[in-house]
Amino acid sequence: MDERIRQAFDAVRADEDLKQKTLDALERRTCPAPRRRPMAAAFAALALVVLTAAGGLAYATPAAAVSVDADASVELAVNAFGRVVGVRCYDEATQALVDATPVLHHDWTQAAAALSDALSETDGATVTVSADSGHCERLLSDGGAAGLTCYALDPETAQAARDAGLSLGKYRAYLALSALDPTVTQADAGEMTMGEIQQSIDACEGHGYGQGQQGSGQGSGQSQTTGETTSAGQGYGAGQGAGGHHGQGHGYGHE
Amino acid sequence: MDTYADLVQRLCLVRLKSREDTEDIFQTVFLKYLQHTKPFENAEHEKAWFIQVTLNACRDLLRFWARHATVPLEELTAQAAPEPRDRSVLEAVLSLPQKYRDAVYLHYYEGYSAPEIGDLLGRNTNTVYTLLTRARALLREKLGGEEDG
Repeated sequence: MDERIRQAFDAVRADEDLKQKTLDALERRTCPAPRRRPMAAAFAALALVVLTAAGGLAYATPAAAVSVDADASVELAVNAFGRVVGVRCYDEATQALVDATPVLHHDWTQAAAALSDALSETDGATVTVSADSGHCERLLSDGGAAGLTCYALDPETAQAARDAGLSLGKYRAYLALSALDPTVTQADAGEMTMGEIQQSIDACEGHGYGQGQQGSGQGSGQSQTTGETTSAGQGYGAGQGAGGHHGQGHGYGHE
Repeated sequence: MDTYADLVQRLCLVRLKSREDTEDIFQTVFLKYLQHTKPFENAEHEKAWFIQVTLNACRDLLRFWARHATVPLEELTAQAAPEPRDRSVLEAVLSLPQKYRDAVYLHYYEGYSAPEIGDLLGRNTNTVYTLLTRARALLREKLGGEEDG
């Protein structure tokens, strides 16, 4: 039996095709460049996928909220690169207006300027920015450079604005007005345009200043003989509004 | 490669039942041979190295590789041995349980003793003796009147 088994196994040989395939495979696998290239390509592809995914995520993630307020209000979600990645309108009429104004994926200052023109043909809009402190400062700087009137709102107050259903700018204006006139409610502010809120603020401030600064303006005016006294007199004489404020300014200037 | 290709081929025949798996084992074994840096003490040492590396590669392949596209035993032996007489013996050996086949091949073809097979397979020498005795009995049974011992 030993001999038969030996003979049977002796007939088993590795054929030339198998040997050649093995040699070819070994040549491919032991050649350094082909071995490294697939690894390098794999790492490069992996890095590309990771970077693309991370970049896409970073791009789509809002890092700031920008509110553009005039007769109507629009809120923009702005990513860390300063691009608009979301738009929120507070009524259907504004939505139609925004639909006609391309803002998505535009630089936020350009988008805010375009919306400012679209929302108010005469007065221009106010822009309110809310973001983390460092980012907010950069946005304010960019907005100022673009000729926009920008205000900052801290994130907590911005959240309160959202809770109240008001845009950031309108909520900021509401806070200013309610400080002067506590009878004003959020609902009242919601129904008013920014122009109307600002008029109310001006009215309250004008009333307060007129009463408070009256003596100062008068005293200064009396002490001056220059043209500014006319100005002071006009202000004072006009009653309780902006004139009183003018009187105060000139009075201090000449002391 | 010519020196050990037949040895690797026979071990693959004993362990595997697929041409594709045999090709994989060839590449694995000869790549390891190319990467082997320590010098062999002699030809016997080198041959023993080939046997162990091939058996380990076959075991790893069977353990981890899902692909076990086997071919029928008759087809396998027909490819391996053209003579009908050799074919029937190969069929008898390859139809043995796996634990016997390595020992049979190493003992009857390569001429290793039971202690040497024990070293190569990592088995106790007495176990190898037992495997060889039982394998011989099974082969007698399978080969019937053809075999007189």
